[in-house]
Amino acid sequence: MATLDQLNAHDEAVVTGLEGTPAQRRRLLEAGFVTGSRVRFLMATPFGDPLVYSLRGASIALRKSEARHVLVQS
Amino acid sequence: MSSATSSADTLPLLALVGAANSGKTTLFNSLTGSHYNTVNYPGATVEYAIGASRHLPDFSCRVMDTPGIVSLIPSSPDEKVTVDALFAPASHPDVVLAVADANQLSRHLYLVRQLQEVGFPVMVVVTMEDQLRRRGRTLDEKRLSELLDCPVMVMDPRTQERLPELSVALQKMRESSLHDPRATSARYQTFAANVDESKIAIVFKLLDEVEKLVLRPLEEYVPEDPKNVRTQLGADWILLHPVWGLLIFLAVMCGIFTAIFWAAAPLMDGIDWMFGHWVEWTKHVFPGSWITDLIADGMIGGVGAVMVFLPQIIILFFAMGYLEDSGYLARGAALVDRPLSKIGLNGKSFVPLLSGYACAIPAMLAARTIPNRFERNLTLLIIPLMSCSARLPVYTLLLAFLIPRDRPWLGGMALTGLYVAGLVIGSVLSTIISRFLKRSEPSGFMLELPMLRAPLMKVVAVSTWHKSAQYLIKAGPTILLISLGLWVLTHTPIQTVAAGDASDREYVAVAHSYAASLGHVIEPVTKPMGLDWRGGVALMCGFAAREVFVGSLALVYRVQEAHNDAGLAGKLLGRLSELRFEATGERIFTVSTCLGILVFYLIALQCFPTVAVARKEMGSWKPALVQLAAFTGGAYALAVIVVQGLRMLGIA
Repeated sequence: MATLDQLNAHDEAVVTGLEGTPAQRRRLLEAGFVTGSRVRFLMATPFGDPLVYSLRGASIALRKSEARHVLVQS
Repeated sequence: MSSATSSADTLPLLALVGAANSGKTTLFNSLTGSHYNTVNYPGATVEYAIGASRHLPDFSCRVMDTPGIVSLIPSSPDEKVTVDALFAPASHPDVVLAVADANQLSRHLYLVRQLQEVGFPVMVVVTMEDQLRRRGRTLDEKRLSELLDCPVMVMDPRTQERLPELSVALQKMRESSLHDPRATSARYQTFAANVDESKIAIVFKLLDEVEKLVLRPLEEYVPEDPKNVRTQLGADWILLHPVWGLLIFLAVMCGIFTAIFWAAAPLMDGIDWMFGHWVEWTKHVFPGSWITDLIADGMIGGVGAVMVFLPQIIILFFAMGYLEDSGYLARGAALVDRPLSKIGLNGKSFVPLLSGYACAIPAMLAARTIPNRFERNLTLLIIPLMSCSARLPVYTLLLAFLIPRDRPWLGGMALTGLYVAGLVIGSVLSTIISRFLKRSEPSGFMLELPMLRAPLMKVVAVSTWHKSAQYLIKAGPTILLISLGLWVLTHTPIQTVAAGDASDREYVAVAHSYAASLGHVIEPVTKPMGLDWRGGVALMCGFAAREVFVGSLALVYRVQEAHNDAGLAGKLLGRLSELRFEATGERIFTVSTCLGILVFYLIALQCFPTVAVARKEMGSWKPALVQLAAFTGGAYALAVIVVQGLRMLGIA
C-alpha cells in the first residue's frame, strides 16, 4: 500500500485510508482527505518539505510526516 | 468608528463564519462599511471584530467577523475563539452567514453541515465564482439552496451588488427562525463528544454528490492542457521553485525590512519632532510650575513615546496584510516550515516572529494560529528576542557613539547584525528547549495555499489600522502610566531652587529625587555593567518602554534644551563621551559599556505590556514571569560578561 508522500510529481491517486493519532486523523479528514477522494501531488516546497497537494479544489501544503499517514492507491 | 451602544446591543447578531481566505473579511468590510471595533467580552478570552450593518437596508443588525475555521471542533486557539464566540451567551448569533469558496465547495460546505446539525439558522454566501468560471464551471445557486435546505447566494463580496437581496433573505430567516440558543449549545456538547471518523466520511460523500449536482460545465470553455504543468501550478511554479522561490522570499524579506528602516525613519523623526515641540511649547506658554512639567514631560512626552513607533508598526502590518491577502504569506510559512521545524518551531511561527520585529504584542496574538501547544509556547517565548521597533532608537544612539561618522555603512551592518543576533539567540534557545522538553502531541503542518490574487487595498488598509490600534490600546495606557509614574519618581520630593535656569532646575530635581535614591541603591548592580547611578536610573526608565532610555539619558545627564542646529541626539552624543564617574573620574560611556548596553537591550524583556500579554496567551503567570526573569537576568549576566571581559582584554 502506497502512502501520499511516495507519489511522484503530478501523480494523481485516490485516498484509501488514514493512519496516525486520532487527532491527526481527524484533522486530515476534516480537511477532506476521506476515503475515495482524489489527490494530486503538485510540487515540493524549496526545502523539500512540506509537499503541496491538490485536493477538492484547494492547494494544501502538508508535511511529509503527515502525508505518510494518508494511504493511497494510484 | 462606530461603537456598540447599549441600544445597539438589542439588535440581532449576525455571525460571519468560514474558512480562512474564503472572502469572509472582505464581506464583513462590505457589510459594515469598514467601521467596526475589536471587541473583548468581559470575563472571556474571546476577541473578535464587531460592527453595525450599514449596507443591509432591510436587516438592521450587528455583524461579527470571526477567525477562520474549517470545523466546529477547534484545533488552535484562534479557532477556539470562533467556536467560543458562537456558543457564548454574550455573543450567541441570531443568524449565521457561512462563507464558502465556490472552487472548494465540498471542503467549505462541511462546516455548513456542522452548523446546521447543531441547529443554527444558516445562510450560505458562495464567493469566488469568477474563478470557478475561469476553470470552466458555473454554480447553480437555486439547486444548492434546495439541496442544503437553506438560503444560498452567489456573490462577489468586493461589490455591494447583491446586498439588498441578501438583507431581505436574512430578515426572512430571522423572522421565521425558531432558533433557541440554549438548545443549540446543548446540541453542540453532544455533537463535540460524538465526532467519529465514519461520520466525517459520510458528510463528505454527501457533499461530493451535492457538488456534482450544482456545478455545471460552461459550454464555451476550452479546457487547459492537463499535461501542461506550469499552467496548472500557476505562479507557484516560480514562488515555490527551489532556487527562484528562495530568492523571491529573501527579496520580500529584504524589502520589508528596508521599508521598516528607511521609509519609517523620516516619519518617526517627524513625530518625534512634533511631540518635542509640543512639549517645549507647553513649557513656554505655562512656565515654571511642576504641573506644567508633569503634563509636558510626563503626559505629552509619554504619548509621544507611544506614537513614535506607529510608522514602523503600520508599515510592517501593511506589508504583511498585503502579502497575506495576496496569498503569498501562506507560501512563505510553508517555505520556512522545514528550517523552523529544525529548531523546534513550525512554519506557522513565521508570521508571529516577523510581527515581533514591529511589536511583541500583536506578534503574540498572531501566535494563536499555531495548533501545537508546545510550538506555540516556544514561539511566544522567543518573540521578545526579535528586535522590536522600540529598540531601534537605543541601537541607533549607541551605534552612532561606537562607530566613526565617516563610516556609516559600518553602522548599517552592525544594525543588521543586531537584528540577526536576536533571531540567532532565539533559534539557539528554541533548539535547546525543544531537545530537552518532551512534547505531549506530535508536530504537524497543514496549511491551505490560497489562490494568488491582487489584494484589495481598502481591506488591507482597514486591517492595518485595526492591528495598529491593537498596539495603541494594549501598549499605550501602560506606557503612558509608567511614563507618568517615572516622571513623579524623578521629580519628587519637589526641590525649590532659587537660582539657575530651567535645565539646572531640572537636574537638581532629578538628582535629589526618589529615582536618584533608587539609582544609588542599585548602583552596585549597574556598576559591573559600567553604569553609574544615573545610567541605572535611565535603565530603569527603559522598563516603561525601551526607547524611553534615550530620553532618560538626556534627562539624568543634563542634556537639555537642545539647540535647533545640533539636535538632541547630536548633543547627547557629545555629552555622553565627556561623562565621568563622580567618585573616580573615569569615563562612563566607553566602548565596553556601550556594547554591554547593546547586549542588554538585545535580550532583556523590558516591556511590561508584553509580560501581561504573554501571561494571557501562555495561560498563566508562571511561564510569563519565568520568561521575564530569564531574559532580563540573562541579559544582565551577558552584559556584565561583555563589559568585564572586554576590560580584561584591555578594551575600555
